[in-house]
Amino acid sequence: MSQVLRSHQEEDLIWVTEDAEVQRKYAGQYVVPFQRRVVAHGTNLVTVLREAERVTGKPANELPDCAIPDLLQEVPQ
Amino acid sequence: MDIPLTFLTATYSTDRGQALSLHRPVITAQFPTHAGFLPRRCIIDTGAPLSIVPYDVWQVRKLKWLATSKNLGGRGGPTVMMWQGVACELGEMQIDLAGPRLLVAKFALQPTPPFDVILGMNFFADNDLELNVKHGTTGFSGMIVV
Repeated sequence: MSQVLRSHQEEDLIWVTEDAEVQRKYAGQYVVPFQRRVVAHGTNLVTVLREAERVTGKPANELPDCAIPDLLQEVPQ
Repeated sequence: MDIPLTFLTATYSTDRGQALSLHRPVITAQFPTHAGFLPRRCIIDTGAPLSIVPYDVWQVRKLKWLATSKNLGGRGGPTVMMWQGVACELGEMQIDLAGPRLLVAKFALQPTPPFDVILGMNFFADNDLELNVKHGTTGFSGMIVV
């Protein structure tokens, strides 16, 4: 069975998924992970991406983002 | 090909001091934007019959998707699709998850609180994918088998 090779962006998304401190600190917000740290966060994705661009010097289309959910919150359809 | 799942985990404490650990499986897929593909984390929700793409995700990231229906006919006549209190439109797009996959989803038409893309049961049916999740001494593990 073969496994999928991951990019640095995907590795950052996995890091942010598995880091308990990120889950606690940024619940209910968007975060941009870059090189295993959160470089921008907030509830407005446009603002978050602008801040991430400023901090990293990278364009937004090279920076992944994800939302940090509150796991106690159900997601109604 | 096996695509490993990762798990969001949060541990809470009850009034009696007992730990309560909660988990959600997630996967990273490549989503097409105006500037090429970008990886996005998706929450796998087998309790969701239909996948969901939040407004911020497709609008801010300029995802390429095709609207297919504003309403759904069925029991009791046409139904407006809603999610988190906002209207949605049925649409589809192609994402990359170890190969091209069809994502048919409700696309929210207004902003909602931050949330990731939800892959519901229809995603697994539409793409003939197998989902395996198990819990052992080291916690949850799982994979999507293509």
